[in-house]
Amino acid sequence: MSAALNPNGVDIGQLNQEVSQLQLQQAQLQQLQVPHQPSMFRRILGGVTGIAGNMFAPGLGGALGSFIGGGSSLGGGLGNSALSTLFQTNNTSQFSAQLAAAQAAGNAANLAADEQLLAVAKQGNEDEEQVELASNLEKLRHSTLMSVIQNIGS
Amino acid sequence: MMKHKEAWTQGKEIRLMLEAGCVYRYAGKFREAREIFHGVRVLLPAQEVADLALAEVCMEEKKLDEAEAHCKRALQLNRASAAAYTTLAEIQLLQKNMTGARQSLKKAIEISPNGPVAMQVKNLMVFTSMLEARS
Repeated sequence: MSAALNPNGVDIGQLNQEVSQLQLQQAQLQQLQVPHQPSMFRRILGGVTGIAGNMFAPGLGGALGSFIGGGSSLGGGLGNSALSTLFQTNNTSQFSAQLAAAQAAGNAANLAADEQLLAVAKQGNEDEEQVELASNLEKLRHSTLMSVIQNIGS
Repeated sequence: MMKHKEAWTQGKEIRLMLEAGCVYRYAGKFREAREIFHGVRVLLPAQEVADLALAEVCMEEKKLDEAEAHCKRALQLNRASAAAYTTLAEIQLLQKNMTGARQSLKKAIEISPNGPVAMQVKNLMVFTSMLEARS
């Protein structure tokens, strides 16, 4: 026999193939399995609760009904969009407050930066004036001495 | 005629010496500048120009007391030297003697209200005001 046979005479390659086929079948079966469904009573109760809840709080009742009826989560199912809208409303007001605060902070930071820039520009102008003054003084000092030198013997 | 020509030639040479001394001073060669200006002082003992030049060398070397002494000597030789008063004002500014500097500048502008000295005085007055504003 070939080298694929072990000392007990079993074909290892064939055995491996069978094992992999079994694993594949198991995985397909797992995919086909239906997830756990809630009971009929629970679904009806969820529907009634949702309708009743929607009368008082549109969106929220649907979400509650979906939750009782076995929806994936409180935010899922019928009330998903309404609930997200509700949350969005709350989030929008919070967001606008945060935005206003951020804008105020940004404005303050911009003002501080502007003031700093102005101070730097002012300092720069003063420095420039001083350099110009010093340069003029040096030139005039030379001119003064030269005029004194030119006046010798006159 | 010959004497006048000789004097003119001598004046020209002294001017050349002074200008050479100034070049040395601008080049930072203070020892050479001093030697030249001391030579001019020997040649022209009655004129203030050599002392003025020496005062400026001392100012460059930050020897303010010596510079002030040279200035005062220049003023003894010529009480009406606006340039000497201006140089003295500069020294007094460096010594942070604002009152003395203002007085010297006032005297300088009285003697010479026009020309380069007057311009220098005006600039120094602005400089004095700036220094006073800072302190």
